Amino acid sequence: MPLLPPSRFAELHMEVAAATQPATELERWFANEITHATWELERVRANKSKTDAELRLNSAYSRATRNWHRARKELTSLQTARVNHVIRLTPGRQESAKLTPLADPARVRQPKPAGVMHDHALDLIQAGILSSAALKIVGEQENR
Amino acid sequence: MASAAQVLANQANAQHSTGPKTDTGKARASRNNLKHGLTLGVLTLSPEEQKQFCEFEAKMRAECLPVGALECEAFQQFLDGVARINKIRSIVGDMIEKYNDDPLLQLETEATYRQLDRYRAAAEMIVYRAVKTLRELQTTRLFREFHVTKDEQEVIPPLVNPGEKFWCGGDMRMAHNDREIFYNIYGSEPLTSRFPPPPPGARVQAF
Repeated sequence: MPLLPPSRFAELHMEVAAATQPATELERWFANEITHATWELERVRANKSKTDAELRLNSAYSRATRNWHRARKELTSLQTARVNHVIRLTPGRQESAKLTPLADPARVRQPKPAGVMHDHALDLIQAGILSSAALKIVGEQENR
Repeated sequence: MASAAQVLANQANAQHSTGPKTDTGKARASRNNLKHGLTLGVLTLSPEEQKQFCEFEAKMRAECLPVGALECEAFQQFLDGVARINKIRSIVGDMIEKYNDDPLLQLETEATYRQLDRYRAAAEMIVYRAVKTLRELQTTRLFREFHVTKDEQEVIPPLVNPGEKFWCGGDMRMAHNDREIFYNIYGSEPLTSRFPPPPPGARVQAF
């Protein structure tokens, strides 16, 4: 089986860029990782009939798959954080958040005040009457 | 082939050479048998690679804006991992050119390729871990800027994000009531008693 032509890599690069639309350098880096992983997967598929290289191909396949998923997940997370900077923050806060471009504002929510039931449950936990697992149930009920 | 006399003469002459003496000489000699440099603590790049990488670093730094010793270190680790991955790709590219075939199928390159795979897996782990850490640190920084008052900043250590999980009474608790729990339990006690080390064998409950 001949080597995959370099033009195929360039095609893949364009396809992945179109599918992921990375907007920052870090996103571009992860998109590039997806391209490399896809390219490796294509090389493995192109050579799957070579039984003498089966072990190497299997190993390359699992590594490339793992890397593909990991890069995709990280890219998704970065893009979600970028969108959250716009939709979850007020314009004033967006300015402050520019200093922490990688932070995810979805994880920066205002702590809600504890309710009466919660305070009571805390007292019971401290007195050793309730287990701390009960706090979760109380919290869930208060959140409804 | 050298005669016995020549061998003896060579051995006698070799006694006069005691190897490099200066630090620079030792550093240079340590790289006499350098192959790819991936096992070195500090990766060596060619001037061309160095130039490209400096541009990449400048762009990344302007974009990620790491602040403080921890963020800068995580950022540096990310750069180091990226440099290693780039180096490995360039070595694989050279292998493809040399054999004009896919190194996945070459028996001669199997051992080298497998070794490069290991280096690549290690470098990828460095990159992903560094990015994760950098993002966590920046998220904590952002939370503290929005929700932690100046007085609180003085008593809550800088790595604690009260909006996330933290140690509290030996349990790992999380979610929105954390800060209330924090103050209810620790009140106005001094800082050292706010984060007591968990007792040995303490039960960790994450929910």
